[in-house]
Amino acid sequence: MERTSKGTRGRRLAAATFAALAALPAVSHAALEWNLQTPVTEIARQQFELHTFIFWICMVIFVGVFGVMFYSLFRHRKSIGHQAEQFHENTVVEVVWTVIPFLILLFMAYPATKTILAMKDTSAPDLTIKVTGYQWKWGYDYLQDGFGYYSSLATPLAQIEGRAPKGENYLLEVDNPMVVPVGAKVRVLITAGDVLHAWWVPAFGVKQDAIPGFVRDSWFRAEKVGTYRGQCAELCGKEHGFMPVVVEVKSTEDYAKWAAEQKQKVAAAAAAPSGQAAGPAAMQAALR
Amino acid sequence: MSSIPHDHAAGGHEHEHAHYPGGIMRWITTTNHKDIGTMYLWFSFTMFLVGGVMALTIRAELFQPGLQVVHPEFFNQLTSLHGLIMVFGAIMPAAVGFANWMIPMLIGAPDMAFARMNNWSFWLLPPAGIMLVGSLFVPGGAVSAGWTLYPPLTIQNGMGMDLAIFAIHIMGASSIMGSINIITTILNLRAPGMTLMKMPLFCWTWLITAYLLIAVMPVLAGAVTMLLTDRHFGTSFFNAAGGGDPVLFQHIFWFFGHPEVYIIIMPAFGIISEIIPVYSRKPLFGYASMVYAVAGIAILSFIVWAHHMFTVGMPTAGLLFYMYATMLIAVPTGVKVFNWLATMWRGAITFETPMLFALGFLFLFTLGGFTGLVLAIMPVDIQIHDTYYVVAHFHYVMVAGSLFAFFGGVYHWIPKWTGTMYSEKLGRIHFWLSLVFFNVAFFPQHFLGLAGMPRRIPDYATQFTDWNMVSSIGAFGFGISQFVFLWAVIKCIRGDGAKAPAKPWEGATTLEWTLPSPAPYHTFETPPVVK
Amino acid sequence: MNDTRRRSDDPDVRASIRRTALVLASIALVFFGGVLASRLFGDQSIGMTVVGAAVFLFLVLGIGRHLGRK
Repeated sequence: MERTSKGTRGRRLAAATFAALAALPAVSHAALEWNLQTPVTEIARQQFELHTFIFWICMVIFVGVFGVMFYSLFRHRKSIGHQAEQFHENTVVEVVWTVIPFLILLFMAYPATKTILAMKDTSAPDLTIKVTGYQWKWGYDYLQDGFGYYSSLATPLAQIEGRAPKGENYLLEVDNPMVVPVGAKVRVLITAGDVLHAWWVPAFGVKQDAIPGFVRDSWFRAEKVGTYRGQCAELCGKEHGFMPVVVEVKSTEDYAKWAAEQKQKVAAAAAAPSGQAAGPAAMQAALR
Repeated sequence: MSSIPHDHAAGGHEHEHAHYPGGIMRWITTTNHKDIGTMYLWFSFTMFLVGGVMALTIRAELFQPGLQVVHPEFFNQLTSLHGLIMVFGAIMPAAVGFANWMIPMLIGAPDMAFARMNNWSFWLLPPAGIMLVGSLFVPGGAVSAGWTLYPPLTIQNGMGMDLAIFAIHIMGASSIMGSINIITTILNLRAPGMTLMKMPLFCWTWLITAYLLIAVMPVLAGAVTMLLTDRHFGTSFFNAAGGGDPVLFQHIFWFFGHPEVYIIIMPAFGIISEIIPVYSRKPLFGYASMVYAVAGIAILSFIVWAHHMFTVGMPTAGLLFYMYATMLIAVPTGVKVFNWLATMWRGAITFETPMLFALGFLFLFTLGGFTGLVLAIMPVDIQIHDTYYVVAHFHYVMVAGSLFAFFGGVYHWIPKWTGTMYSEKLGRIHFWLSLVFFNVAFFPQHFLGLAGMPRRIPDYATQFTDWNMVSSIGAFGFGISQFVFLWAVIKCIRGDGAKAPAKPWEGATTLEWTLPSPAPYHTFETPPVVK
Repeated sequence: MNDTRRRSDDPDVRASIRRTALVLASIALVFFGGVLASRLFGDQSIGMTVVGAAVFLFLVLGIGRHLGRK
């Protein structure tokens, strides 16, 4: 709905640029992106609306202020014979333009404060998942169910190096995504094993730095079944750009089935003699 | 670097009491504020080109998805060095160059208070610059943890990181000495009758900037010293395994880093406040409130640093405090913008190149201010923190802000520096090319950031392709446009242009325009009297 | 050289210049030492508060002294 709200100015600019670029081979894969991703949690929706709200306030002020500037530039030019007046002070005006911005800021701060309070409320989760950032993959531990696994980039090197055509989810696909049930309040405990990372899913409105030696938390309640993609958002070394976050939101039944499978795998691996453990269990051991 | 004897242009007839050695020794041994200012400006321009080449390499890699031009590890070195070089090598020395050239002339002083220390302040910079650039060639390459140097990643870096630490120490020492010099000059060497509240605003902004520098450069030096001991001497300030805290570095760094962004922008505010009244032929509106606004911004800058760290996971009270404090900065900043507009209001405006750059500054800096306000709203920041939105924001305030103001300042004062008028045609071409290409390069980055492209990545998902292409093209255009500037400046130095009168600008009122053009080697040996 | 003595060579001005510079250098030292010391003992919020208060105090003193004089 708001995909084009970020400025006609930019669009005009883009139009002009593209006219100039007509000669270049356009490698256009998707429509141009203009705005925040479509939110699927309450928090992300509030963030989206907050951004739109502040964007329009800024837009109005911007047009007002620079309308005045361009009027002045046009009417008070020397070349049309305008004589300079010599006033240089006006206490009333100065007080007014100090107080009015202050009031506008109060107006902005109120909804922002409400959202912050909601964001920080991680109490009473239905499910808690520990997320660990590594160079360069994510580890997901389902603390209540006792299983866990790694999640790393699935895009083949050939695509990155240009030896194969790039897939639809280029750089945003992983081997084992995080899986969560729809409508459940999921609390994520975020930490890191080596350097700083940041776990970010734009559609959920969650971005939290992963700090080695410290555990931070955040939460989300996804409202729609689907696959949501994000990326590591804190520089973490050479493959920082290659450790995406993918979260699969399943219906409650599908999730229960998936979780049961995972638990079975753990049990099977525990029964097997050590050393021959199946993949996920070995990973789980490594995560401990 | 040493090829710009500003006073050769006019034939050297004003050299009665200008005694200095010839050739390179003049520049190495000089204690003259004008020579040192010139060297600062050339050093800064050189570093600007070096950092610019790095930026263009980055943009070339980002022209399309996939890895084509550089490896990811080298890409990270480029982004890190681009930041360090542009901040410490290009923008800050440029501001000090303006201070050296202009402050003594603006307040009617014969020279800086500590002329020999001034020389040392400058000559510390080239070794530091060489260490930074040279670190690309040591084993392990240059620092690759971003200009913010966050541990633990910096602990993993090789020898290039140690070179960067020492370079920062040296540049910090240079900045502190420069600041002591500037403050001392302003407080002690003003011409009789020049009270603090009569000083040109450029002196005020620099006075406050210098205080900020003295307060925060030692803090940065302390932070990188702790990194150094963590790396080599077994301390664990920032190592959780040893009882330290990686986030502590971020707190210390941004306690320096936030005032630092005002250190970068406030001299630019000063230059703009000198330019706009001249070309509007009207005194600066609200002088006193401008001074208070700058002081207010400076004080606020010490209590807002954690807005750079909204995603580290702070307590709710901390988030709210830093959000409110950050939003508050919009008030004094707004006061400045309104005052500039009121200065132009009912003036008699002309559009010489310095004024064009000042208007470009005003328009684009305010835009950057608005995106800053958006970033200050913590819930929104969660979405755009560490994305290209932030990259766009700080390039709007640093390039279209500081750099445009410095370009304006050069065009405004170069008649005084060289005795030759710049080519208005070249100036205009430079302005319009810079303005257009700057926006082509950086405006699309807002969209990239909103759509979810993280910063500091060498490769990106395909939905970001189009805007990245546009941005890369703009960046190359912007880079190439700067050679127009170089050409315009060299023309002035060679005396290729109209001879500048003592006061080339009709609306100019400050002291430097009472001197002949080019300004003699020694000026105001007997102080002027200010009514 | 010219024989008009520069005002900056006047001993009074010289002394005042030196005083200003010493105060400023002391600020730099307090901050460099302070940030390291505050980490070696005590927690960061105390250190930062002290440093912040020091900034403010030095600023007020530095500017106030000169405003008062003129």
